[in-house]
Amino acid sequence: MSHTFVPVSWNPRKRVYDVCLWICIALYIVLYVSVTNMFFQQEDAISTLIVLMRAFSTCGFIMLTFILCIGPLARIDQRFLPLLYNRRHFGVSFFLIALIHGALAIFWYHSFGDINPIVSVVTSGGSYGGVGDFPFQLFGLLSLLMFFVMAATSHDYWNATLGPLWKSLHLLVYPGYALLIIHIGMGAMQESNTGILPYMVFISVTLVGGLHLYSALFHSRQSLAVEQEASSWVEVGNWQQIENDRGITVTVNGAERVAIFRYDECKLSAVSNVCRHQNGPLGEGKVIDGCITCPWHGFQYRPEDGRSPPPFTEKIETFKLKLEGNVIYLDPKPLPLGTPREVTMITTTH
Amino acid sequence: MKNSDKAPFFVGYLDMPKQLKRFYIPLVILVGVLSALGGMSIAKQQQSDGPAEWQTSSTVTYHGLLKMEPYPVLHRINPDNANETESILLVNQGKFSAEHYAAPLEDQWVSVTGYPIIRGGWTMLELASDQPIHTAAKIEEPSEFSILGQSSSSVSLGAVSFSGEIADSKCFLGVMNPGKGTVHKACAEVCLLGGIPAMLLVLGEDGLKYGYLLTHSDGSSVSKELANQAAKQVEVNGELVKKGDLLYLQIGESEVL
Ligand code: HEM
Ligand code: FES
Repeated sequence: MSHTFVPVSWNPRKRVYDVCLWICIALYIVLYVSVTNMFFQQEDAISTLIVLMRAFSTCGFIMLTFILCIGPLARIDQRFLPLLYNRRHFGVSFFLIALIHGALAIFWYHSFGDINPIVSVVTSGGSYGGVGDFPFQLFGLLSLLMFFVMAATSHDYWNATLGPLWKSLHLLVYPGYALLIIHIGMGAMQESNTGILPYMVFISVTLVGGLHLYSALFHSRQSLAVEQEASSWVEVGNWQQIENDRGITVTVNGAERVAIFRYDECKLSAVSNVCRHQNGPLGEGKVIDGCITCPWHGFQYRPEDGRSPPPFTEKIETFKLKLEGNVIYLDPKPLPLGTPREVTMITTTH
Repeated sequence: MKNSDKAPFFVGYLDMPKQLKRFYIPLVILVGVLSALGGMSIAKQQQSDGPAEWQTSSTVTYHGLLKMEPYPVLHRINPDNANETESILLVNQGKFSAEHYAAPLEDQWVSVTGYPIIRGGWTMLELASDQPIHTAAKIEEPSEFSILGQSSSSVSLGAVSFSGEIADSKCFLGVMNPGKGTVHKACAEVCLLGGIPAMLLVLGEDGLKYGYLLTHSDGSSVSKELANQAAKQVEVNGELVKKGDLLYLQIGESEVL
């Protein structure tokens, strides 16, 4: 275990988040099914299980689109950060919805015969060359397995246990999304009556791609790039650029890792920019109740020693600072986790 | 500037700042409305593959002459018009052929109980689970037996060439809507492997869909061999044969197999 396991626990905000989420899911599915039943009746009725399969699948796909947009949105406008706060519940809910779709498909299309339904999903292939004869179910199954791994390891326990592997594991969401596009494009979209599906996929890809591109181009994490010269101290700049109780992020020799905060008007503290919880960008956090507070899930660290206030036990690396006039200098050599060092006081006047 | 005090800062376990609440309340309402509209409009854009029906509410019982052609078929006199005969395909429950029940009673006068599957001029019967086929105690009208025997004998209509989609007749005729096409391929495959009669769906020049039951050139079932071709558009040559009011396309070994 890389460090102690501290789950982000339940609280009323999360409950509100989940309630809103599930109301939207219920609205979508109930209305999908009712409208289908209203427009397609008797001899034209679409099979109930197929309707459910479609309601859950499109709901899931739209949810995944939202999930993938939260990251760049929060980057573009901090007001979206609260969506990120409970994104994992969104993710697990999405997995459940997608699982229902996959299970219905396996039950309805692959069962009631002579072969094992799962074997049928894998072998009912057809050829990879032929459009309209493409094993699109296999792509759905693979992506479902990826989402399963992510949902199963979404708890903070796994985050703490797996360390950096966790982050890589959860980047599987992108290949998973790509597999789904193939699943839909080579499956349902090959029918002559594709309805609104191509538009749904187009809008999704445009939103996800566009927001990622836009945030990467115009809203990359603001951070001050400095180069370390021969001497150990690097110049960071004037302290007045840091607002009280806020931080800046400093990139030393290209690696982003130091957050410098000003608090109590006249105190400066440099700590690692990487939150112990899920690598949240601490430099974009705020000092609340005397503690540096992560913008993602609110883990806190004391500026004096980089330790979470008791009873918590998280520790981050700290750095030494010095002031010459109004100019801050940083020693980019990290001190061991949770090392206290002298608080740098601003003595000059504004 | 981004990390500014003017921007509200949200911490999950603290109350949400007022400014953020003002941002989120309309946003959440908007997303709720969009979810509702999205569900409705995506649902409305679907298309039905009907009209077709699978009447599962109660069983019906038909009497007639049972044949294996090679698929189990019940030939009977149309109850509404004694001058007409009807040929009803029989299939088992699930994705299985009715051969198991039907073969021992071939060429006999039987009563069959099941759930009707109806599409256009086609009627199929999905056998009920419990004792679905009986030999009838006695034939009420011996003349019917000979009429049906005659009408069900096979008549060659000559060589033809058709292009169309290979489907499983059970789903297409009404068990599933839609019961053909790419999304249905896997299911059709399971059905054909289970011996459900294979069917070629051909779009006629009149815009109507025609179904031809597919068999080997010797008249035996070709379902299993065609399973991996399900949902594919194919071009087939063969001999067209009529038995009762069903049309069969007997395909040569070189065709699609
Ligand atoms: C075991 C895995 C899966 C199987 C066997 C499977 C199977 C299918 C099938 C058979 C269809 C065609 C449905 C129809 O229109 O009749 C379909 C469509 C679709 N699937 Fe999946 N799927 C799987 C996983 C997924 C996952 C994880 C997602 C993610 C949300 C997904 C999203 C979709 C979507 C959006 C459609 C188009 C719905 C429509 O036809 O309106 N599938 N899938
Ligand atoms: S609190 Fe979760 S990443 Fe910092």
